[in-house]
Amino acid sequence: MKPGFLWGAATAAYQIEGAWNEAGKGASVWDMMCRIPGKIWSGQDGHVACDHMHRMEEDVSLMAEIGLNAYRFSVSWPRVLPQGVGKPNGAGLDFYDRLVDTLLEKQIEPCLTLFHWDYPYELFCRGGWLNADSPGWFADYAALMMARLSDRVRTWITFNEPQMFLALGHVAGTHAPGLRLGDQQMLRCCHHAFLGHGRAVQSMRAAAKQPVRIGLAPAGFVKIPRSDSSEDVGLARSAMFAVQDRGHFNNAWYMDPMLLGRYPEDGVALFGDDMPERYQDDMSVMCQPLDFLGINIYSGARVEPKGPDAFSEMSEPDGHPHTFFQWPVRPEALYWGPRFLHERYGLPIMITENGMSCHDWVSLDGRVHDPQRIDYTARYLRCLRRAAREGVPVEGYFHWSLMDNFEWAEGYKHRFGLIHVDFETQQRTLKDSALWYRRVVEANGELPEIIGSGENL
Amino acid sequence: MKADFLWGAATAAYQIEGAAAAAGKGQSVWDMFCRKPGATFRGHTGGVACDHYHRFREDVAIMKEIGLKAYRFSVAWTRVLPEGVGRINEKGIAFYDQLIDALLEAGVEPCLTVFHWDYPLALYRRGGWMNRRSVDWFAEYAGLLAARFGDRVKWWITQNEPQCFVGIGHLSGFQAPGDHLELGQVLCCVHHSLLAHGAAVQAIRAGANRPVKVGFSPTFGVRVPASESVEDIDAARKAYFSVSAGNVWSLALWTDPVYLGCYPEQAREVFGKLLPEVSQEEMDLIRQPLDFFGCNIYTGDKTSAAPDGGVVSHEKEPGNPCGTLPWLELGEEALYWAARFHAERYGALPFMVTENGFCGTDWVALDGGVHDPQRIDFVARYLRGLRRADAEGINIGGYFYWSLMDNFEWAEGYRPRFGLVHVDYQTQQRRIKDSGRWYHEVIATNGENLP
Repeated sequence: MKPGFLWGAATAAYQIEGAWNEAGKGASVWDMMCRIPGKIWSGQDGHVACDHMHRMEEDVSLMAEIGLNAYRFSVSWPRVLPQGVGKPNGAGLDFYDRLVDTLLEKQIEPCLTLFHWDYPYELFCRGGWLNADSPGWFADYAALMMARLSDRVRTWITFNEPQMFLALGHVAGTHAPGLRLGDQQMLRCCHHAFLGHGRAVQSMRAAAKQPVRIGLAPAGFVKIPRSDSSEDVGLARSAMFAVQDRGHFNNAWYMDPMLLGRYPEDGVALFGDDMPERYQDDMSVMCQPLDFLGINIYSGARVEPKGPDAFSEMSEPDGHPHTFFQWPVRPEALYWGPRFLHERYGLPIMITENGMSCHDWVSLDGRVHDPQRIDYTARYLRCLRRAAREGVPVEGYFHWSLMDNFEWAEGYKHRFGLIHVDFETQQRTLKDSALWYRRVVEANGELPEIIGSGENL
Repeated sequence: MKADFLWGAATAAYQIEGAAAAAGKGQSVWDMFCRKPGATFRGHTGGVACDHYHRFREDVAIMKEIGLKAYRFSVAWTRVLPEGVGRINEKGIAFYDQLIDALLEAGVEPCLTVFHWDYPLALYRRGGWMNRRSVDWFAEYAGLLAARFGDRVKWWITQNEPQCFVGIGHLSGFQAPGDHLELGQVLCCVHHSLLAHGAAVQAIRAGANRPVKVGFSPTFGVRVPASESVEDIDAARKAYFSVSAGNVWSLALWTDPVYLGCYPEQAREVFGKLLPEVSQEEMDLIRQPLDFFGCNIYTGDKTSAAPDGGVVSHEKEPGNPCGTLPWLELGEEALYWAARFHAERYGALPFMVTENGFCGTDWVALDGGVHDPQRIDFVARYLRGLRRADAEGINIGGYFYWSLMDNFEWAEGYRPRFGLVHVDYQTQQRRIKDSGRWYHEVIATNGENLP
């Protein structure tokens, strides 16, 4: 990979911090969600999680031990603004100050995500993303963080996976705030969120104390051509950016407005009268110049033609490799995803999440053996390397996750970490994959298993 | 472990054989169930499975390479009796003849399960386990197998996990035949399948015409005492043998009739009039002398005594170790407590673990191997429990890992992989996983290499 490539790992505040009601923190919609019976696996919650708030120094030391040169974390909005707006909580801001300073001491570049799903409960009670004031609330929060940390933090991300907090949170209801809105209200939430991104970028640029780079980190639903023929590649490309149904799980709806300044035409036609009134008026504010496109990619689906203009996703062969989460292992997603996204949006690409959940535990020899995660990551990295070699500007790779943590509605069932966490004792153990990742970082990705040309799964 | 300990691996016909309609085989309820939309994961079927029917010689060679002392397999009832009773399909008999001969030639002891869930469709249409005549049908089938294979097969298991083929098949409907009967009717099926077990034991002993070893393989989640205090051990024992209402899952509902000749008193309490009235004659038929206690064990839930004398089942700690099927939680010491509780309640017959295993995210890695250290650790921990039981003088007869190879995991399709051997379902290529190599060492050292 090119010099300066960011080799990192990622986390999110609610998934690791714990200390949910300490030191002046306000409640978030995830705190609320965890109180609702039946919403979270085994009734678990993020109250303690990895207790990172009290173990931050230890965790940064482990990052240094792995050799990370970057760390992607998110700020808990209600920890710094307990009401979501208004008076900041000094103790919350101090925590992120210390985290950033500790990272910099260890030569680890902090990459800050402003919003990774833990929306302030007080703002939810005022309508959340339904409220026309919500873009301004987010912009004010973004400006606060920029004013506080931009002297030391260079890389900023506004949203993590807008598809998930919008569609899972407001339509499926499986993520916080657990709503099941109609399409008209859902599109209004989307519109306000996208506008919130644009307003935030404006306020961040204004508040930045030094040149910063700002990006967005949507989820990438990658479509993979069934062969390298131009027809199949063309089909996969159009499939990747199609808005085919009202299911809300796609790429273009959640990227085009912020990256191209327009809603996808097929989506606009599909939603018709449900579109927000006078939505065109806001497009120029939504679409602010960005410095990179972050993308979270875990899997992908191969596509084949279905009739003259349509496509369908191909089912996986019986027994195809899958993660513990039951997501198919599709390493080519890390080639086609960055390639298609760069073609369409023209921005440098940053892999802001990629990883797998596996059934990891501390074995009788005291170690955590996770060769599947090593093999998964090597296969995905070799596909990312192919994209980079073919000219896609790739700026970094963040493994999800630094450590096992609270996996939202799935509770602690799924372990994604390079570091094993015993949630009873809070003991951390570097997994075999962490030791392997250290070698990846040292070699700047030039390990035989990544350079080699093994077969795809 | 003792010198003649049976170190084995297990499979079942429908999960591996394929050739679902070949060579005169009749249809089973699983063939029917897999055709029902939505019944199995992504519509997977056992139509081809591991194609073992055509590849059994290769598979026996792999068993030999792993060093198995024993192999537990099941006969597809409809392969030898296409209509369940009556007409014999000699091609089906010939297949098992060849399999048994190949095993013996490879020095692998065959252990035959008479029934592992693939019930004849023709008999299901005559009422299946609801019909009192199902007892005779099963005895006829078992007697045929004994007459044909009893000269070479010494180890016999009548039924595998009756809780599943009766309870899941007829009450919750997640497995074949997929029915949702009233509990009273399901208890009638329970009783008939127990009678069928007894009648089959008689038929096997009569048909084999030489001394054979016969057992029964129910399943149950073990209760592991949270501490080794007398109170916690009592609480775990009580929970282990308790009978719960509303389902037929409880171990003692099956093992008390088979090993003691009576339904548990608690079954009368929780089921009341729904439990069939039975004569002493019937209970005598169910309670046949057996040669070992078969048991399929995967989990062990921590249990302790409540201050008021009740039983407390512990919540799992967050992030507890488990396989890719959510019920498959690591239950350390499960085999020890199961063996001990069985010995205390039922006597000194050899305790035989007829299934125990782990499903993981196994695939062929870039280096061509299949690396599954979690399976190794899982099995090692369970075997340590078995070793402790053996060291304390409990009669332990054998251990069969589930499964020899990845296979059709019933309603879950091909997604969960339990094997010591990886199967590529597109090419049918087999690869011994790291766990298969490790198990070779376990067997070669008779368990001495366990940490």
